[in-house]
Amino acid sequence: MAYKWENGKVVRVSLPKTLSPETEKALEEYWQNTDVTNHPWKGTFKNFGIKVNYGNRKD
Amino acid sequence: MEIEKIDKVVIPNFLDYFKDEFQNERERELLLNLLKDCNNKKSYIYLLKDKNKGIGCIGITFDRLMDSPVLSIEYLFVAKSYRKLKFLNGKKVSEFFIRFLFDEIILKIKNNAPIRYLALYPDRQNEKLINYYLKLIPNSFKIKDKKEIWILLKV
Repeated sequence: MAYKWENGKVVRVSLPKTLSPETEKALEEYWQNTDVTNHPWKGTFKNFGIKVNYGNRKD
Repeated sequence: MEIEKIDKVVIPNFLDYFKDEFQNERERELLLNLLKDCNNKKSYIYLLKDKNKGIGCIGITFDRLMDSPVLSIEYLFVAKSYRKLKFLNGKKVSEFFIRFLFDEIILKIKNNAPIRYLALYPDRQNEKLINYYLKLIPNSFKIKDKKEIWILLKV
């Protein structure tokens, strides 16, 4: 989900529930053929040296 | 400088981080919606700040695409003064946030629950912005459904 601005108001946008057969096929091919283990961004966040405060809620 | 995870927010206090940093009312309203969703437990927000000065924030939530679990970016806001700057290891704030989600947050989620994609809805569906993200994010993929365009990244 995300927001968009339509006629002066904020509207929610959801990911599609169904896709056209062509898009579905392309998405499946993308899923099958994309190697995430060697993604160039993997392991790079630490290089920014920015601390992340996740809070300490106990509930 | 640090990132703070926020799951409940006092709205006026949060807006103070970004005093005079909105380009227009539209941006303020979009952020306001994210803050309300955060207080309703629909979103988490990650705020990048330097002491009391907000640099940007990103709101995330879960969604589904064709029955696959997806982490969706609800809204990515960068303070006006930081928009064109490349100051985080030469990266813009928007790129920094997407890298943060991909390399930090999604890793934590993946260790505990299944997730297939990170999804981004380009603001205003602007063609230039869509192409910018597709070029910026390695291995990203564009889907178009009716009029809406989303950018996905397999995680």
